[in-house]
Amino acid sequence: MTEWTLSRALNEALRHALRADGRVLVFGEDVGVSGGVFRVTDGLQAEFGDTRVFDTPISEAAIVGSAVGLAFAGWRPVIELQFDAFSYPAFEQIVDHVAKMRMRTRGRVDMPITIRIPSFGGIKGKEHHGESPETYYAHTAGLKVVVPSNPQDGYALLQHAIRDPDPVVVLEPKARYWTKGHVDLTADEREIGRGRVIRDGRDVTLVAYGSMVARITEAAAQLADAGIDARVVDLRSLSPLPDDLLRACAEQTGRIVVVHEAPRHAGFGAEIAARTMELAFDSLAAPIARVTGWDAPYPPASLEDGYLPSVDRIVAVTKETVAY
Amino acid sequence: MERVFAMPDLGEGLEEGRIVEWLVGEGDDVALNQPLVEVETAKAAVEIPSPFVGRIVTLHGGVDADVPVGAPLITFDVDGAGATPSEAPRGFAYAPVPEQPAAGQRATPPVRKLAKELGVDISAVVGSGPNGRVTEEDVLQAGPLRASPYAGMPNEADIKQRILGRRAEIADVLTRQSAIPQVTTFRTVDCSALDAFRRELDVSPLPIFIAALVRTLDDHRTLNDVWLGDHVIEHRDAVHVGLAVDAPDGVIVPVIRDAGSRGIAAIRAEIERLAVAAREGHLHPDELTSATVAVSNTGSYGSEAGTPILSPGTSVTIALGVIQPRALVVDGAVEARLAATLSMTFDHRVLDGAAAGRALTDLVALLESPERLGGLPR
Amino acid sequence: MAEPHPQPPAHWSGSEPRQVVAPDGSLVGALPDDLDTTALRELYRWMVVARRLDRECIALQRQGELTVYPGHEGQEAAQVGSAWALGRDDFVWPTFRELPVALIRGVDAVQYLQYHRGTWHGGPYDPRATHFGPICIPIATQVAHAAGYALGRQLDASDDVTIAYFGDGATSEGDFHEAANLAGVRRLPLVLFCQNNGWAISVPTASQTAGEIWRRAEGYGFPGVRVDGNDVLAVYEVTREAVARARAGDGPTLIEALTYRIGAHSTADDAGRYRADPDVEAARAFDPIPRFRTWLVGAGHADDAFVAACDEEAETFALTVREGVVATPGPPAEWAFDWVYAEPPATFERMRDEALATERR
Repeated sequence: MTEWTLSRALNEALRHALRADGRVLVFGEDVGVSGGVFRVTDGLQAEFGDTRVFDTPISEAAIVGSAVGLAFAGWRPVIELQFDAFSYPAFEQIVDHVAKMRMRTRGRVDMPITIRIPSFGGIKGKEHHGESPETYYAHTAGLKVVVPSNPQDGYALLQHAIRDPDPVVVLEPKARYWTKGHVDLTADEREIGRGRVIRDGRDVTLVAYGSMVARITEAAAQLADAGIDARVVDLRSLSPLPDDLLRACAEQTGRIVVVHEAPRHAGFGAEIAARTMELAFDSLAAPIARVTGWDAPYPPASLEDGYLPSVDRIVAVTKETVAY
Repeated sequence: MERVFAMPDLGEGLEEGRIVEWLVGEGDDVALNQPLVEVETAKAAVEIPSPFVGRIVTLHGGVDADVPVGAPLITFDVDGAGATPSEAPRGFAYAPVPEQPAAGQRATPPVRKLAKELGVDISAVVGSGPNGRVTEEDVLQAGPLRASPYAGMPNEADIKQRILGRRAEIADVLTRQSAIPQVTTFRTVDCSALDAFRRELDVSPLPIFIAALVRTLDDHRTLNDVWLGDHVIEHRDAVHVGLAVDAPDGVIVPVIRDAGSRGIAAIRAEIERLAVAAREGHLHPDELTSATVAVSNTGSYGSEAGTPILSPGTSVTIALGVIQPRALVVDGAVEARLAATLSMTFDHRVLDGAAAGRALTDLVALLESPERLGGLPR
Repeated sequence: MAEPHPQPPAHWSGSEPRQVVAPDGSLVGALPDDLDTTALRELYRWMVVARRLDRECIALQRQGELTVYPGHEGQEAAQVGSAWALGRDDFVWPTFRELPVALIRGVDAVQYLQYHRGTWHGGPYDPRATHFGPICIPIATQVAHAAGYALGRQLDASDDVTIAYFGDGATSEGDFHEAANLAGVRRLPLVLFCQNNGWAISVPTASQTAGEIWRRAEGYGFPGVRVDGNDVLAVYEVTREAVARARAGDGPTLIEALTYRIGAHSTADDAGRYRADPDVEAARAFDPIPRFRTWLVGAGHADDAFVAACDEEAETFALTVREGVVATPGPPAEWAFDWVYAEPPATFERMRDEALATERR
């Protein structure tokens, strides 16, 4: 058992993958000498050399597009797109090619590409540094999308993403990069597609991913003081969606509150609500509630706190849901 | 071998093509890829080359005709085998998704809400619906029967009140019933004999009135028929008298079943039992349905006459107005007599005015005759 | 000598392109020194076969057997000449108009045409076996794939070369720039082969870009070359040089092959809306096939019998492909799911089962 930050845990996962598989390449903007703007690739170029770990021009489309070509050539690219909003120039490559190429070649060419994207807000960042792009990618058939919320999951999920023969988008919550947690280096059971119950409860289930997992955990503690026994679920995987877990939560607690940073309209909470309803409509005792960012562009740093779901908002909405 | 060549989609998602010029005629022999026809589409004008070697049998459509994509354009007589047509794409077919096994208690949100309001523990209810789903009925069975599931529902606004529960049901039933072509006819009845007889028996006039009504039906069976719809009338032997009763949640019509087999005392006892049960909400659903004829005691709250709307399942509903002294002409002189107005509403599809009027006349005659009243089963 | 030639298409103006055989069939440059008579005849044969098949494909589209089909008439020399310069293990990243290149790479024409028949995306041929990438519709995206593939071969210390085909319109795309820039930075073993056919659907090259495309290479730090794209020998020669540079580790080359799209952009396009017939007729005077034939026969490499045999072979080939295409059934519904994931998630499998439920009953 080791105590690492999420950044370090991701770094160790990359190191592990580079050691374990000689076809793994790590590249992107500033991932070499600098070690990445969030230091996730720190020290990797020194250890593995600049053929395995290298900087690219500021060309997101070429970073992703060349990863496609590298996969054809038998490599296993792990790429970093520096910030959420900077994944958009590569959107065409991700959606048109990364996601579809395996099907287009009738399975002759796998796309074992890992696309790491530092994502979400909460760090008082500049404009275009607080986006929540998860729905764009989760909506794209052919991609898998995971969101680690803590060092343990960062270590495990990133390794699984790299090992996965299919393309995986790893959305790393920037606000959690420097949060420390225990990492069990031997733990290997947390595969893609499985969510995790962080705290059990019987009255209501709070569902989140990324930074919001910490918020719903805190909310659950406050709710316990108010006599409400809230279950806390870290979804971890948005595509595939751990829908068996959602179904079980609906059946066992009858009430679901979804929390995410992204705007509510057509946000990922809508998919969670719809899937849960499809699977467990008869078990629902209250409407599935969504506590989300507002349907407005991500605001300047000084307005960030009011935009992101706060613990108070989560608690208030959960109380309404329980009292329904 | 005849082959029909259909108008292809010449662009992307086009729906039709217009024939500009035929380049071949019926009976012509054509070679593969020989130009057949010039077609203009929304996107471009193109020549369509022949897909077959063979003879033109039919050109479908004249110049300037718009031929839909997929509709026959040319019928060929094709030499030999020609190219083998490909088998049609299989594509998708759909089947219903099988229901997955249930876990835990299943109930739709409205049912859960009902259970909550009735104080019913839904986890203890055995569901009778598909996959063990708890139904609204299950919850009602499990809960106190007459507790209004809608008690305590907040009003949507102070001015407009949302009507729910019994009141809404009554409204819906009356709206449906009022669609029946129905007519009300009136008769005043001298109640002197009735009053004397009720004092003798020490009962209210109502059980005697019901007994008299049942006796009258013996001679007027049509009043006990009902219009089923589709021009079908049902004749019924048993007489079940529905009696409109004021209950806490609005009027209900409990039924005195087989009233013809009961005497006045038994009718009286049944009226009392039903009234108590109605007030306390203990009526069994069977006691609220299947009236064949109905009575509304409008006099009980002082009303002189009413125009009742037909009770469900009946062709005749009679309102008994208040019995009070009235100036009646008796043997040519005005005299104060106890009297009441009977209002009989009848389904005009089942009964004509004359038939209904004769029945009412007979009923009045019975009620005014001490001898005939005395002949009613006690 | 032939009659004085009409003016070349407008987008050929500016720098003189490399040329070996002039439009009138006269030899004006040095012959590639590695092409013997057999090879020269092969170049001609492939051009004739490709053109005849192109016409058959357009007919098949008109007959409802193909969906939209993009013709390549007029571009045979650019494609056959460049493809002929590639080694067996060199890898081609095509657009959607490289049927002649596909034929030379050994891609089965019937399989290739499944793309245009609407029975499969990408193409059902094996890109690794044929070294011919999936057909690519999104403009210039394949140039980035080519850069990545070239990088992968470079990292493997292989001397394989990668070639990306694209059109004049693609040079306006960010992906072209990003990929070319990356290729320059990493000195990738990559040939960037632009067929400047004058048209991006309806937009002429002059409205697409103000400069000469081949000159962009300088900005990326590698050589560019302009070649008469309707001169199969010149195209072969410049591509051979570019491939040799790449194979030697000297980095990428940008080739601008000046050619002309004789047909419409595709069978869904009406070129009459944006260009005049006389211009197209003038461009036909620069047709690559008669020009090469004139020289080939004149130089004694071929005779009329060979020319006739080529036409006959092309006819037979086109009709064989037609039969194969028309006989191909639609794909089973399973194929909509079968290759989406290497490790399909359970949720995906459930949806697949739902969709296929009836088939399986």
